[in-house]
Amino acid sequence: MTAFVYQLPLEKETKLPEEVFDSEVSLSVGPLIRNVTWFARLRFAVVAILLSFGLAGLFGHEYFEKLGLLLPRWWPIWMGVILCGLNVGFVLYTRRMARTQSNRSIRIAFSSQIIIDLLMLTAIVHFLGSTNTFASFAYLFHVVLVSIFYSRQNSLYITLLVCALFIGCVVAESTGLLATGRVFVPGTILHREELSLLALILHVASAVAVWIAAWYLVSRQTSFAKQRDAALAAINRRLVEAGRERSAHMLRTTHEIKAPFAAIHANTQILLKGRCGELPAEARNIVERIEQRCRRLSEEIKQMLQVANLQSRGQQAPVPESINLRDCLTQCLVTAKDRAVEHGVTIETDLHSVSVEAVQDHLHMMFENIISNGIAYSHEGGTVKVTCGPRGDHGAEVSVEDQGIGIPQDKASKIFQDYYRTQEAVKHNKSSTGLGLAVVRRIANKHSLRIQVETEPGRGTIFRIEFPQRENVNQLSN
Amino acid sequence: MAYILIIDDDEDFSNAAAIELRGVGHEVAEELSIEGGQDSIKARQPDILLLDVMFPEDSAAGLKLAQILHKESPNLPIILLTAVNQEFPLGFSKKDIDNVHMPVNDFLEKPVDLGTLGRTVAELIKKTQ
Repeated sequence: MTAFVYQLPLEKETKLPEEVFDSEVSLSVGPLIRNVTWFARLRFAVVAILLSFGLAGLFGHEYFEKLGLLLPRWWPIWMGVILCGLNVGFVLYTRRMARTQSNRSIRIAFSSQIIIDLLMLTAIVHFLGSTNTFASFAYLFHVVLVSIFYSRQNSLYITLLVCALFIGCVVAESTGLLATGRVFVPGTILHREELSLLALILHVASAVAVWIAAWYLVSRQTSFAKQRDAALAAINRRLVEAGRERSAHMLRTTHEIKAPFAAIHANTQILLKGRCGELPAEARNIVERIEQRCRRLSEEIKQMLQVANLQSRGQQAPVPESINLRDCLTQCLVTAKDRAVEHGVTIETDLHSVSVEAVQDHLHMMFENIISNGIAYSHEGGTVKVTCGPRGDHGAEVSVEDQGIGIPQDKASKIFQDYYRTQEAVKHNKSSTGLGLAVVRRIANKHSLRIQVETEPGRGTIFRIEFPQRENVNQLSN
Repeated sequence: MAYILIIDDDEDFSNAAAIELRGVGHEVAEELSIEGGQDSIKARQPDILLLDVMFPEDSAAGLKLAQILHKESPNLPIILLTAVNQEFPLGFSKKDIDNVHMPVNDFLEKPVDLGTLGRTVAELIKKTQ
C-alpha cells in the first residue's frame, strides 16, 4: 500500500489593497444610475439656457445689439432641441439598462453622454467665439466631473479629447475652414480683435494647461479617496469575516466544553436516582458533590460565554424588536419552575401586557439570571414574586422580589462586578458563580435600562428594571 | 410506553439517557452516527427520536437529518438535544423551531436534567397519540 502524504498549506494572509490603478475601483449600478440621472437634470438646465438664448436672439435681436451683444437666432434653439432629445433618449436607455442591472451598458451610455456633451460644447464654443470669449472655460466643468467619476487613465483620455476638440476648433477657425463665431458687437469694450499668432498660441496653451492641471489635481485627490474607500471596504469585509469565523469557532468550542459536562451530569443523575441500584450513603454524598460541581461549572461556562458574547464587537449588533414583556417573562418562568421546585420556593406572578424595544435573547438572559438569583437566595418555603407592567406614559417596569438572605448595604454596589459574591451568598448557595449579575449589568448598559436594588439583610431583595420610553430606543449601545 | 431512538455521538450521554428512559418503561435504542440512525429508522420507525445536532464531521448533521425526516416521515416526533449555547448569534433555541430550518417538536439544551427529559418525552407521546 502506498502511503498518502498530506502537506499542510500555509495560510495566506489577505493583504490590504495597495495603491492600485483605480480603473478597478468602479461604481456599482446604483450610484452609476444616480450620476446619470443627475447629469440628465443638469443637461435639461443647459437645454433651458440654450432655448432662452435662442428665443432672446429671435425676438430681441435689435434690443440686445444696442447693448453690444450679437445674439444668435437659430443655432441655440436647434442645439437645445437636439440636446433635449438626446437627453430623454439617454434617460430612457439608462432606466432600461438599470432593470437588467447591466453595469457595463450603463457605463457605455454614461461615456457616450460625456462625448456628445463635449462635441456640442465645442460647437457652442465655436459659435460664441473660441478665442474672443472665455466660453472655452466651460470645458473645465467636464474635466472636473470625469476626474471624479472615472479612473485616472480614462479621465486623462477625456481631458486630452477636450484639448484636441478645442485646438481643432481654433485651428479650423484660424485656417479659414470655419468662420469665426462672435457674440459681441465689434467696436464694443467686450469685443476682442483677432489675436496675433503668438497671442493665439498663448491663449490655447493656457487653456490646455488649466485643463491638464485641473485633471491632475482632481484625479489625484479622487484616486486617494477611492483607494481609502477600497481599503476601508476591504477591512470591513475582513472584520465581518473574522466575526463570522469567531462565532463559528466559539460555537464549536462551546459544544466541546459543555458536552462532557452533559455526559457527567446525566450519569450522576442515573446513580442518584438509583437506576444502578441503591448507593451507600457515603457514595451518594460523593456523587451529589460531583453533580453539584458539575452543575456549577456548567452554569459558569454558560455565563462566561454570555459575557464574551455581550462584550464582542466583532459582529453586527442584533437589532432590537418589539417584545412583549409578559410573554418573555412567562417563557423564563417555565425554565425556572424546576429550579423553584427543587429549592422549595413558590413563584407568584402579576404580569401585565406591555411591549418594549429590545433584543429577545438579551432579555431572556437578564430575566433568567435575576429570577434564578431570587430562587437561589430564598429560604425553603419562601416566595419569589415577579411582576411587570407599564410605567408612566410609554415605559415599562419589571420587578423580581424575594424574601431571602438580602444583601448588606456596603456590598450592594459590588454585586454587579464580575465574579463578586458576598460571603453570605457563598454560604447559602455553593453553586453561585458571581457572573449572573455581571451579565445583567452588561445587558442593562446595552439597552440603557435602569436597575434599582432594594434590599435588607435577612428580609430579602427587590430588583426593579425600568425600561425607557419606546422612542428613545433605536440602537443598542456598545 | 414508546420505542425511542437516540442518535448522539456522545456515548456516555446517550447511554445515561437510555438508562433513564428504560427506567420509566420505554424501549430505547441508541445510534452513535447519523448513518446508523438513518438505517435504524428505515428498519424500524421509532415513536420518538432524540437527536443531537453536532456530529464529528458536520456541525449541523442533526439539523440536516431533521429536515430530511420532516419530508420523508413528517409524523415522526423529534426532540433536538444540543450543548450549543443558545445565546450565540449562530446558536439556536426553542424559538427557532419552524418547518424549514429546524423542523422538530421540541428542543433541550445540554446538560439536560433527566427528569425534564422524561417529562418532555411523556408530553410528546401524549400529544402525538
